[in-house]
Amino acid sequence: MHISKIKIINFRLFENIDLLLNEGLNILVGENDSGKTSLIDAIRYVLGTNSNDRTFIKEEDFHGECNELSIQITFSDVDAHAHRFVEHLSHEEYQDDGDRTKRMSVLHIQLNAHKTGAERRGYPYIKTELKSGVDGNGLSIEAEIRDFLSATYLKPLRDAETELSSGRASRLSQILSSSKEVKVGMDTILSIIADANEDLLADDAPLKEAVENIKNNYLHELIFNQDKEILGAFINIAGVRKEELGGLPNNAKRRHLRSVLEGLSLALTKDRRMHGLGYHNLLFMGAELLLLEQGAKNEFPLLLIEEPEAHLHPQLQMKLLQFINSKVSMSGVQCILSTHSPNISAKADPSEIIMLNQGKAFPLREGETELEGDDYKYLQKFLDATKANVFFAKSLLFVEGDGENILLPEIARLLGRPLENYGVSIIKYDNSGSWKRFARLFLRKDKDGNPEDWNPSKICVLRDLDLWPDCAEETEDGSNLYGFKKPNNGNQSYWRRNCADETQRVTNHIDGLNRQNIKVKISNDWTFEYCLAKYGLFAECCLVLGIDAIEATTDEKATYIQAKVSKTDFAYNMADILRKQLADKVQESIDAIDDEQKDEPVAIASAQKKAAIDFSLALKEKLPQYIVEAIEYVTSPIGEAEPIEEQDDAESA
Amino acid sequence: MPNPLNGLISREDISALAQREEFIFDDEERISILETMRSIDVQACPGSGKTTLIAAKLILLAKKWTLSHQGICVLSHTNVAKDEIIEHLKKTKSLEAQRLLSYPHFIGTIQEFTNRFLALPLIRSNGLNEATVDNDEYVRLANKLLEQDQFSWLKGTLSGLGSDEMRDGFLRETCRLISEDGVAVNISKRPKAWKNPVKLERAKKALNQLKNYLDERGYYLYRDMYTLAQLACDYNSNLSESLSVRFPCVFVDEMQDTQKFQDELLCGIFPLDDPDVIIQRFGDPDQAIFHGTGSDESNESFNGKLAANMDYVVHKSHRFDAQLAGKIKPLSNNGIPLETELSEEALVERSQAHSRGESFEHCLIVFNDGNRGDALQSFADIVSDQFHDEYKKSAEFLVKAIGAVGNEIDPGRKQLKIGHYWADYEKSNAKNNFKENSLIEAVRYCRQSASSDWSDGYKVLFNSILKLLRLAGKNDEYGRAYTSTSLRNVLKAEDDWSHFRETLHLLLSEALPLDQGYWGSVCDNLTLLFDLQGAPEEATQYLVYSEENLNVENQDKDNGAVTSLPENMVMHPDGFRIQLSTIHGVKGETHDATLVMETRNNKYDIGQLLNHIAGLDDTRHIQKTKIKFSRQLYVAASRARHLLCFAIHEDRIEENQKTALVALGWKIIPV
Repeated sequence: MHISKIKIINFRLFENIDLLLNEGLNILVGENDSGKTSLIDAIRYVLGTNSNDRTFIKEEDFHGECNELSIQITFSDVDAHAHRFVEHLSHEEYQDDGDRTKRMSVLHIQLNAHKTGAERRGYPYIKTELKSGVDGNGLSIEAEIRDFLSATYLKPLRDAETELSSGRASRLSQILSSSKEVKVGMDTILSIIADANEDLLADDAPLKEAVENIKNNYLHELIFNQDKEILGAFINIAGVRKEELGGLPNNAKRRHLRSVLEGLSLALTKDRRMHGLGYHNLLFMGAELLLLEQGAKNEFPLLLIEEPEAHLHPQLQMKLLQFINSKVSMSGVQCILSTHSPNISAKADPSEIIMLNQGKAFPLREGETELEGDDYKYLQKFLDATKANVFFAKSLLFVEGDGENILLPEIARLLGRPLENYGVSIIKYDNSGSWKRFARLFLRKDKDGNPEDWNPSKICVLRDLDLWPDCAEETEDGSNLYGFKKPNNGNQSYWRRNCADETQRVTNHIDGLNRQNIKVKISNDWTFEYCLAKYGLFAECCLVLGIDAIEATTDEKATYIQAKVSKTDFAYNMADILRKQLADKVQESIDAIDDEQKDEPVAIASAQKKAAIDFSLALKEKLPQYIVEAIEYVTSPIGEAEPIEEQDDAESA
Repeated sequence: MPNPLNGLISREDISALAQREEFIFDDEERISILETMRSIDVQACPGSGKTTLIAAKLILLAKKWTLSHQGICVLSHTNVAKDEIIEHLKKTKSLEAQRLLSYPHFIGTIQEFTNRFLALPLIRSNGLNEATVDNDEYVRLANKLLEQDQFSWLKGTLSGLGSDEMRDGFLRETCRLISEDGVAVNISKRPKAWKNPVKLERAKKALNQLKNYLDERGYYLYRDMYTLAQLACDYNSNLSESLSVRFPCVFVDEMQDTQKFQDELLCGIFPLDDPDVIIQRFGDPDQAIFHGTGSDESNESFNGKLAANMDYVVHKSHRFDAQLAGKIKPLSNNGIPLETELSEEALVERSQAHSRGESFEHCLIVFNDGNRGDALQSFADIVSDQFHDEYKKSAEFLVKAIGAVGNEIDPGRKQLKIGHYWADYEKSNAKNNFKENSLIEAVRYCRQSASSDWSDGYKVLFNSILKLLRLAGKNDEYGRAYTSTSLRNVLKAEDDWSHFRETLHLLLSEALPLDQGYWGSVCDNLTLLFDLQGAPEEATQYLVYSEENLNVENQDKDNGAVTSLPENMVMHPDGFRIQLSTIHGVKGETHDATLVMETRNNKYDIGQLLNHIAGLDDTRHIQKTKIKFSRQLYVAASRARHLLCFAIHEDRIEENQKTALVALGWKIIPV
């Protein structure tokens, strides 16, 4: 039995989603406010949890101005437990192997809530009901059934130390009293406590004397004489008395046991007071998982974990995921886990990941994206913590080389489009064609015609056209001054002169993936650096490389640069130079301020800003078109009229 | 693996319970039934305290029940029997027993069980939000749909059935049934126009269409639920197992009334030979009476059993004294040795019912063609004579005159029906078919109703309120006529429920006389509650006040003659009433005095069995009609706890029979 589907209407940022879940592990990823917590809360509201947190629908839970909301959870594969809720079952049609119409049992649990407009105790009165049936058209769900379905919920950033300390109805006492060992050993525990009780209150024990003092000197002074006979005072541990123990009925014993357990707290053994929160967190999770596993036979084992990475260093995070994974596969636990951790999401099987974005969910399960079988294996291997950014970014720039990787963020910043302000991550792919797999990760299967179902993440892939101009040929006679490539059998297809149809080559490079929210941008010419040199930054390139400028055609100039670029230093130095240019511009602009305004911060700020804008517009003109388009796509279009973001590095420069 | 429920109940538990609840279980038979935790069939004679026995067993089980999502299933045939068990459980001091009233347990009729666990979930799975399962509502909507042009041919041919009643009767049978050829609409009668096979096909098609429309609107016959339940089990092969796991322990009360199709469904879900499910069935095959028409067919798995094949037979009755038990015993076709189990104390107490403190004299009233109409008078006089005056005046005093055949008389044919004994008798006015023309009639009916069960009256009145709302065109939020459930929910939601219930309670309680003043305030009340201001004419007509039609203008108190009251009642000048009814209509009742009137169904029923009654023949009946007669007469005769009378035509009683009857203690009284 497992949750196979969640359908949410008008709950918080979810207007209407229909999400299929995996039988085992489900990892919810996405930026803040994408719906991870809301999804887990939706499940908690419907099924309840077996810790003491009672949850009520609040006014803020309604989407926008809506007055009604509903959350439906569908359980599939329920036959082993169907007897518990036969009257609530829905019989879903399917075709069996022989193409005959059959039906199978599923269980829908639907929470409906609506605002009544009335108030109760000063709060808006929201009426809720919990029903079964395909459309919530069934019977009300009994508390016993809800108890069976209830989830184990691990809150984010919990104060694990408090959770594991003593107190009335403490979580630890619940966990312990459900454990098999404690159940079996109840009598032993109680008799030990009873013995201790007697020892503590033996005739000459300090406690006994204290009690006598309270009784004789205070209590009996305050009450009527005739009551003194019947009113005494005594102290004990958990109400257990040796002489009564034998005759106690089991439920009374359990009550005593509970108060004993409530006095306990669980702590780490290396008892130095300040232990890392992380280990406490793990200890707590361990205790909860123990409870979950023990109840798995009589309760539906559902585990909801929010951000388990809290306070854990990366290696521990991965170990935790591994541990949860083994529980999922061994005990049939279904787990829904939300995370911000690139470590956890990188370690996970991508098919277990559900990306949340703007109140919509995008499971990466096979069949939902254009990924195919071996893509998953590849991605799991290829994803590391840095590349796992793909799951958290608003937009992604996939680039082919280190040059772009280093330089594009700088260029974007100089253009007034700092990537971090737009939630853009930049990821360098290898040359095994992995960029296609990333693209397919974001392409929703069979959804080209339904823009509302597209993954809203903007993905831009930059690829080199890789066509070599004639002037790059190193000719025997030295007629090409800057040529440095010798044609051979292996590189025939790279020569521009051999390319019959350049448009076709671009199309081939795009490989049919320019769809949905994915744009594949092909460089106008050979490489990124070639294009920089060819379209306007030739002088800067020479400066970076420390070489003299030449007078030649643009292609010759670019070839001249291309031949010299070899190390990532080029990109770093180019960034420095461009930054310096901007700094100079700004200084010039400040210098040009009239003398009487020279000390006014407003005038200075305005001068700086103008210089930055002028610089960005000038830079835009000098950049190859595909680079500008790519940056504009993942951020926003760069126009003259538009003000540039206040927070600009020009100030610090 | 042995069933884990085995040995759950010990003899100590039983005696502790008996002590606490003041039950008397002093015979091995009953104790053993309480103790046993295997599948059993129990034949329980009339007055055996079967319901108490089942309730006691439930209380015992409740104390030991530890399973959290598996429960006990208690099935009965009628709501009355269900309510009786629930009342028992509510009254007991055992707190644990209250748990049986809710999840995971189930107490209800077989119909409710079928609806709740199988049919309604299937209907809901098909996207329908609410289902109306009610034969009357169904027929009403079917008739309305028949007005559509596309059904004009069908409607025309159906008029060939003779009357509107016949057409309604036909529609009432248009359930879906499963046969080897699949699922099809049942055709109970074929109008002449359908003789031609082509026409028949056309009719089937049209009926199917009509049925589909009814499905879409969520209107079903009771019988349809069983077909849907069967389909649910057939399509979803794990379903019946889920149900048998849910209910490892099943009790069936009134098993003799379980119809064949019900039994088949139950046996499919709870196989009698399944070691994991305990099925304990209680009933009395001797009391199994079925019309034998249409789907009204007896189960075989229980009613087909001889006493010897029963696991237990409870033959001791708390209802009869030794004399009366002896008179009823010969009618038991299973040959149950019916015995009394009344204590000396109870016998003394009972003797106070008799006018002279003696034991009652059971009579055979013998009439001829000329004085048949006076047989009822004779019976009334016997009752008047034998019962103590105080006893007769008590509100609980219940006297009935019953016969097997009660439908309309066709003067041209050789018949003997209840109507021949009392001309005012009309089947359509019989208790179960009470139809009022105005609300006040319903209130009067409930107040006068012989039944002392408040909940019966409440139901009748509630239905009348539903009718009022229909007439007023008031619908629920889905735009459909209110059902008792939806009305209750609406009233509860608006906090009007308790007020509404009080109003009904007051109407039923006879605390206030039904005069024009009181009635006016009741109508104002309802008008306000249901916003009936400006309701259609039909609704206001329904609320109009009318005087009680006592039909007693010419009553001469001194001549001692009985007079007709409405609703098949006659009144004796002494003030007690005699209710006329069919035997079918009094199943499960207990009367102070019962007159069993001879009727004819091809043969004369009492005449056929007189030799048995007279002790001249004790062979077991094997002929179908005779089995049927003996069961009917056994049910009829065993209603009486004090006085039993038969009415028989002089042609059907021989001198030797008279002699034998007198020898057995019967009194022969010519009209």
